[in-house]
Amino acid sequence: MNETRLWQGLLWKEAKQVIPLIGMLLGVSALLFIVWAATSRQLNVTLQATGDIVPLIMPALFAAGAGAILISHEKETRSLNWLASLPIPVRPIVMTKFIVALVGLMLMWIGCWLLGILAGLDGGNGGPLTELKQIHPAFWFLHSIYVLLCGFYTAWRNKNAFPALVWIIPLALLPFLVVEIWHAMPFVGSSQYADVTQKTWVMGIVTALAIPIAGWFAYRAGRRELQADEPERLLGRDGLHSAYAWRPPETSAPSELPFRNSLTSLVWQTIHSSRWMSIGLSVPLLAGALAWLVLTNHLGQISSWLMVAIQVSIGLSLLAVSWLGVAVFTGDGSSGRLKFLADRGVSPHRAWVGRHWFGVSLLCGISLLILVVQAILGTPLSPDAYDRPAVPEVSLLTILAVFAVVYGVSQWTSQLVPMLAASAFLAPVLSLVALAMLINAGVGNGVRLGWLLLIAVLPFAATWWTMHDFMDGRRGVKYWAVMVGGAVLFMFAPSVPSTIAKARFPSMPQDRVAELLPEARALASRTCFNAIPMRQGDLELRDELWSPTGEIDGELAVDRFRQRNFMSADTWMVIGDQDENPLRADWWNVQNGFEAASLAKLRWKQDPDDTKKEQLAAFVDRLTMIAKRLRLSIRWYDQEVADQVEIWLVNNLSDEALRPLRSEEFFQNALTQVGDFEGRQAARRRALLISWYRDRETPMRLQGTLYGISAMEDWFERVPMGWRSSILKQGFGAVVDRCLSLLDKGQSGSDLESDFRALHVLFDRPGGDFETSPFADNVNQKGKPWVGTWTPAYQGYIAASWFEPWEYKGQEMLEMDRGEARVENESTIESNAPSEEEVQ
Amino acid sequence: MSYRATDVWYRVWMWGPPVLVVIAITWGVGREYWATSRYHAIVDELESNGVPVTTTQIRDRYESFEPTKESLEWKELLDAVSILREMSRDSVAGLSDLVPPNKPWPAKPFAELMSEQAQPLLEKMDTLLADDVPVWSPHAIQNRYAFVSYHPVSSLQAQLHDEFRLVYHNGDSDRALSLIQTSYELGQQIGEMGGLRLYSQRALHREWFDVVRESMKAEFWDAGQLREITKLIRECDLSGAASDVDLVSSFVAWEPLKRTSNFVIYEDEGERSVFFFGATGVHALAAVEWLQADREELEDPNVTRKRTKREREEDQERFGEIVDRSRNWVSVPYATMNLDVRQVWRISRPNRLRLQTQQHNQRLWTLIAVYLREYQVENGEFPRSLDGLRSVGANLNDWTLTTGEQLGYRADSDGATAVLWTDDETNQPYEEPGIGRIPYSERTYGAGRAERYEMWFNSKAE
Repeated sequence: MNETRLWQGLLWKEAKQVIPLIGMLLGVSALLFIVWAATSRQLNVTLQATGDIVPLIMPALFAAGAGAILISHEKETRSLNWLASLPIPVRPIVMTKFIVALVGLMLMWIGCWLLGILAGLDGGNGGPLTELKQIHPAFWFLHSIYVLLCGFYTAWRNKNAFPALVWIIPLALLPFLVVEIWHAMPFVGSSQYADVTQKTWVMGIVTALAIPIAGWFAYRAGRRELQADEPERLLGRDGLHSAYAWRPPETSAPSELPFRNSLTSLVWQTIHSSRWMSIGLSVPLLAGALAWLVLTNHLGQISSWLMVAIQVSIGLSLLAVSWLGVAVFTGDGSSGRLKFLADRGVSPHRAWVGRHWFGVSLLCGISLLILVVQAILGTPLSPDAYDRPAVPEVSLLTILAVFAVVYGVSQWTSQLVPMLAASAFLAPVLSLVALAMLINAGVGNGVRLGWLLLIAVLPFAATWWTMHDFMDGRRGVKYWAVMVGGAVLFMFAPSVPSTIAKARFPSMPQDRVAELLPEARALASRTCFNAIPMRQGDLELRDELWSPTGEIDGELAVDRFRQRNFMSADTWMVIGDQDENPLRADWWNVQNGFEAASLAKLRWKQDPDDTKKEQLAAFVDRLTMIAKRLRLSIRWYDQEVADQVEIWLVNNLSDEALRPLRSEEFFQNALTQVGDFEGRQAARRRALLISWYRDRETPMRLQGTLYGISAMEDWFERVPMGWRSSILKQGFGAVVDRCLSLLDKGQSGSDLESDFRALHVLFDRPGGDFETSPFADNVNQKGKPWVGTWTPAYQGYIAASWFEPWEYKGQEMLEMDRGEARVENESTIESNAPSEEEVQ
Repeated sequence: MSYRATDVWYRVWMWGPPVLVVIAITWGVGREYWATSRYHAIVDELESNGVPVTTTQIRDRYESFEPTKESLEWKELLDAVSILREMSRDSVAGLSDLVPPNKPWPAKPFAELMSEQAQPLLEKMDTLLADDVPVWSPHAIQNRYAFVSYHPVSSLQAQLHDEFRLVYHNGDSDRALSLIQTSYELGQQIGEMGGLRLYSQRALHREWFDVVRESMKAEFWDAGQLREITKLIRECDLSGAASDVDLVSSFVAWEPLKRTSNFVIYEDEGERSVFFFGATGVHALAAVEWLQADREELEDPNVTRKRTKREREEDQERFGEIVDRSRNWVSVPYATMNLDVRQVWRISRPNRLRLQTQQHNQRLWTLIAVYLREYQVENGEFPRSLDGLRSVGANLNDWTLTTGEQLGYRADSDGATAVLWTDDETNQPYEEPGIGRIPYSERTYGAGRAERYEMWFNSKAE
């Protein structure tokens, strides 16, 4: 045969075998990227950072699986024997397989690199895998070639694909192990402080050295495997015995009661078809259960090597759970066996149950073992109350649910991809992604447990339904429809409840939006957003005497005290002199203002001289000005602070002690401010509408910059984190709608209770019952004496002081004052005019 | 083994685990339903016994929750004090030292200035206390505990103590005594404020104890005044727990089992981190059980701080049993009411117990300090041992701490100098556990503890 044609033919054959794996892995990567890109904004930092290593995983999976597909698969189908029997040299057979695998690996790298760019993974730092991610991609590239060669070696050496795959794991870990040992050497220095770059170099060199070695081993193993079989060694004359001829055949005699087509026989078959595999999967599971028990019961510090052992055991046991699922439909030659059963008329559902039974029983047994041991051990107690195990004990249902998801997705994968080499690697990845997705739905989006458990059943339902077709080896339209339908359902079902909840979340009705938007837009376009911030005066006195740390003596301290002029309003509340400009509230300054004004008031009351009166007047004047300018602001929050200032003013103006000051200008100014009921409502309405408009028009990423305009962070804090940010605008719209309705009703004097109650519910019941909420004082005030409290117990809620008695009290005080002034004026006029009696 | 036997074993191993799991899950679900109804029954029972079970009922329990015209005067006063304290902006050397009359005090001019500024406020405070106006500060019931800022009240107390330091330095022991009494009265008034009682009152009393103890170091008080102070310390009621917001109340009022809608679970961030799918009845029941046991213990006046490992283990076991009973097979993810769950639910028993025992020990330490000074004033020297204090009216209980140990004490042979030390509440690995036989300042390790847990007396002001 022409050598070139031989190479061409072999390359064509190998390429045909490996292309499905490449396509499948790239397809899965693309799917993962899409899911990741769509959800990563909702995910927490840890998961997001983990997503960045996806491009590294896929080529690694290909590298590990290529050998199994190109070699083990051919061994299983016996085509390798046939190939070996052909009169062609061995070298091209071995080499073409390797060349095709290498080209495939390159394609995987290029494909994943492109997908990574498209999906916009930034490879940012942070998360649990930071150290892993710091390793340069070039090392991973080198390592994937090494793994590919190891895979070839193990595939040539093992008869079945499964052990070949298992053996890759220790070989692949070898470079890492060498580095750890190297760094543990006394002459190298502690590995703890070795930096990642240095480690990467050592690992890179080790891997580069190992590649030719692994290559040579793989090549040699391939050549040996394809050599003609050694002839069977005939026993020498000495070995023969006369009785030998009577030895019974190796197969056992038919039993009295063979497992005739019963479930038991199917289970027997599952276990015994590959005893090695059954043991190989049960042992890590047991080890994992043991490690888990140590983790949940060990008090105090766990030594680092034990921790590593625990982590590895638990990781391997999860891998075992996944492979248990894979073994259901892709275990060594199981598809062939199922076809055999189908040919003999075994019902597909019976076969399905039979194939699952071993895995399900094993997993149930392991969960029960953990439960029983934990119940016997009890809760770990330590005399020190804050000493606790690294991981708290989890419930039986939790363990079962994790097993169900990992196992379920794995068995589904194995039915979908009935090629062990591929599904053995795909299944663990897919099942962990599925687990992460379901956990995210539960924890991040608040989806109920029952719904998630239903979703976890889906993969089982899918394989149950398609079992008939699968057993017959008929994978037609119906089969694929069920599979694709199931996958789509599995992916989207977790987000259904949160989508419904989002849609049902209160919002401003569309007709209200249409009605209010033009008005809000017009208001917003007329206003500038140049609010002036408040600040304190220079209280630190940064002069030459100032030292940040040094202590000073009493004399100097007295001097500095006097320099500061504490009883001036300018010391505590600096607001500038642009009286027509809106002010931006700073609660700390306002609070200091109240306190300083209270001090001035107490001092004046104790000793009412002119200086103290002026000090008090200055504070009250400043607070009045603050209220007035806050009312000009377009932030709803400034209106709330203005309310507090006005409450303080009303409270103090109505104090009998200040009665003698009624005729003073500051008193009158303050009275005018607190008596302006209509003006206050207009300011609130305007601020609400503009805040709402600005919040609506601001893109999501700038939301954080709108303090006091948008919704406060804690308003909707019981909404699950996963979709909270997406309802903030909607929720704020609902709040604004409710508040506008309050303003309308409040001005017309209607009953407000229902609206306040609705607001309380909208904010998810801050303070518990309505009676203890921020809105409790706004209603039910009839018949109670009014007491104004100017420091709200709950900060940051809108409408918290609306239509409380202080508003009416302020109005009443102003009217009364004006009325009295009028009466006084009239009486002055009357007294000037001659009385009737005098006339008479 | 025959095939028949194998078949039987296969059947057992096949059917056993799945059937047991199904039974376990069914049992778990049934138990969860039972626990939920039991929990509600307990809440109903509590309500019928007059324990507040809603936030409204908690509020109604405290008259001082709502302000009155009069109690708002406190708010005004506290505001004013708060800004006055804000005016002391420089760090003045030795301002917070208690300096005896005959010693130089460089901070004195500033202390005098602040005192002068504070006079109107202290006068106002005297009026309010004389009129018995209840102290008021804004309250809110947020997340399972009544929240109130006691900072303003502690500012007022700090102002009183500053005033005390000045008066002490001036040698005016009558005025000093009246300030001590006022500060004490303020602490008691806070006790009437409701939810504040446990923490704020204790915080105020702790400060008060420190100041009183400090004033015993040098000779200053006469015997009659010392007896007055002793009387105050003896009166001091620290059990507190009974009149605080009931621990169980504040737990049930937040309705741990009611945070859901049909589609998703609405839940506080903290609770979601331990109950992914909402709190469970079994855990809520265990929490109530724990809180009730905890309350009984807190109300027990003979409560002790456990010192030995065995004692502490016994103590843990009692609560460990409650945790074990809370093992829920169907809750996701956590099985028991573990430490994370307890922290989210604010069930932190050791903390409360520690506060209570600390307070008790502080009080004893202060009481003995006063008795020592009284003994010295009457006899001209300090007693050889604490037993000598029996002559001034103290007894063994007064110098026995909650750990069962006695306060550390040593006097010089001439009785002119004495040292008294208390439990530092830590177990140093290199020395004998507990109070030990020598004062901290003379030990090899941790001499720094002397500053907080040890006091030296000199018979005469130096």
